[in-house]
Amino acid sequence: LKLWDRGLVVVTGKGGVGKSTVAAALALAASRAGKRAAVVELYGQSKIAATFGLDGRSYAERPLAGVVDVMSITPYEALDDFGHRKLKMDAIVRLLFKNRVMTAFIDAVPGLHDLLQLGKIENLLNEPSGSDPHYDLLVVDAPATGHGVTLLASARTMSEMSRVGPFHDLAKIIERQLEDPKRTAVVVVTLPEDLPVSETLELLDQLGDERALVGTVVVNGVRDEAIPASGDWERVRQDLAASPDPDLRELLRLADGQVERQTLERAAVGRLDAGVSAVLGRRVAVAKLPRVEPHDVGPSDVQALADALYAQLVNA
Amino acid sequence: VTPRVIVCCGVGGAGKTTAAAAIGLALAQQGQRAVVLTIDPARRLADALGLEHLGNQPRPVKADASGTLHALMLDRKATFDELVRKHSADPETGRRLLANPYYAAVSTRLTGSHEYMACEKLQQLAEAGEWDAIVLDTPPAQHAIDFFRAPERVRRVFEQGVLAALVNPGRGIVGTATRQGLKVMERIAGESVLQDIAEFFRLVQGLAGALRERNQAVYQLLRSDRTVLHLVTQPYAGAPADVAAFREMLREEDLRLDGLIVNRVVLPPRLARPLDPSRLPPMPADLADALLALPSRVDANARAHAAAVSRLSAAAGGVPVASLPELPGGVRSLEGLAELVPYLPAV
Repeated sequence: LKLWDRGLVVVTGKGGVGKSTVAAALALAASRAGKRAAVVELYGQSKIAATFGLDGRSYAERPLAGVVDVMSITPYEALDDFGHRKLKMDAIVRLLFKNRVMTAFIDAVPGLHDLLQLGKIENLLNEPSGSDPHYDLLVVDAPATGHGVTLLASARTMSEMSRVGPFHDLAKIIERQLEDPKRTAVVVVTLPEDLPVSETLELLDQLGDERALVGTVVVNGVRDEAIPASGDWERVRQDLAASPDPDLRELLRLADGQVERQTLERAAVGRLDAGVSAVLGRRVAVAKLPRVEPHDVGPSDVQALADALYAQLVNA
Repeated sequence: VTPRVIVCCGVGGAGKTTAAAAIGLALAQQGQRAVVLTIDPARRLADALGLEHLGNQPRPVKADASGTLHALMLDRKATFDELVRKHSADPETGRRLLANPYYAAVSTRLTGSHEYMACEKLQQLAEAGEWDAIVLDTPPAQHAIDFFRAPERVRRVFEQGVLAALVNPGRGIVGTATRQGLKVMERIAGESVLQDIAEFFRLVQGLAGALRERNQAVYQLLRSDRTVLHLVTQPYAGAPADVAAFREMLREEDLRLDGLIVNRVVLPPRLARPLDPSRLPPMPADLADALLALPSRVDANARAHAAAVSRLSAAAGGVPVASLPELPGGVRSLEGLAELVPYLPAV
């Protein structure tokens, strides 16, 4: 089973690791595998759309790079949608639904924001209505809170809290989607650095039932090795250090930094490679994505990352 | 004496924890009694500070400084429980509240409860009278402004008039719309949730006054002239727009930005003249090629970062901008933090 053979892929990870970029690249990689894919941004975020030059945000799907769709959803829009679909409410009740009682209520119930958005996603995936697009795959850019794992726990929170009623039913449907590794995969994104790798391994270790869902771990921002490994390096180092030319000593400072970074990165990636499968107790692919330098990611960068992901995951 | 408060805001991953820890160290080096409150659920600061386990109470950090440095990591649930125990009308009410399922969910999972408890902890530290300076790392958030908006939103949940009507549906003036709204809620959420919520609001009523007072105190502390706000960011193209938007949002909250900290900035190589192969000592050709290519690689990144920093400065509206250099391998120790101190804004 390839990553994109599941209907739902949830991309998690700490803030700043490049989740949004990886989510977009995954959707593009899936389209290379012939899937009709869309990437979903939550809480009204619109980072992916912005990367591809789309202005503002839109609850309705918009095409991204011609081959996949992007949508940005909010809990309130998802609730409205839910009201239309599930509650068959008349116009007066629908008006009430939008009033301050409901706003207060959905703000006051923990996990409900997450649950409502997952409800929209689940619905889009499993029972799209006539006018909705039909997707093989939805890639969700999870919020950074709690490494994105709180999102996965929201259905359980709700089914613990409410024992009957439409929210309870919704939570049950989402729980079934989320507990099935054939239908849902979690992708954990991290960086090739010591602490992010430790945090990722801790996260995997602390996951409960969601462990079975982890489809792949992505190391984002791997630098190429600018200084080749060489048996001569120690001698060259000493020559540079002893040089009367200050430019050569500056060059040594840059090279030392580069070598230190490379060494630490290699060690961190190695620890991740070994650790992921050990912690999860099964072989799980660790995909490596090259660092985009400098920091600004554009559409062509995301396409290149999609190619790299496709190549690494198509045979995983 | 009110301690100084230094708040490090920013989106998740910007480097708030690192900046906060470095500022704490700088203050300790100036001879102050500094405490760093970190929120990040990961062990990042604990690692950098060489502490195995940070607790919910300040622990000393062995720093080479004339003052003292302490650090703690917010435990949101423990802080909430402390608050309930301390301010409940009587111990029995407190116990029942702690056992209420809706309370459990609110205290651990309600959006904004992290921010709310960070403010509560800040207030506790400010009241303790043991600190000259408190450095605050803010919870990971989609938006930097969440820290300033969430606490009041969460507290309002506690005294939400509409939901409080559940406690005594018959009493008070409840409009038709609200009654209808409650019916809809019952239809969609199920009765049991409403019963838990109703009990929660019954129990929490006695707390409301204390919670409101504490929020008021934090509100004033954050706006006092003893408090400064720094936005921690990184040098990328979207950052200047984020800074401008953040300043505008702060203004709406009657707050102002005091400084910008740009994290992980690549500095340009310092070469007197371009290098060429003739200046290098003897070495294999591939190594020589790699070394000669290195300065221009670093320089390209440094130029992009310098351009981003100057756009950030323009967006920052005249507040001081500090650039922290990117350290190879990131900050992993107290020594690494100490390397950042000379680049910090004046604190």
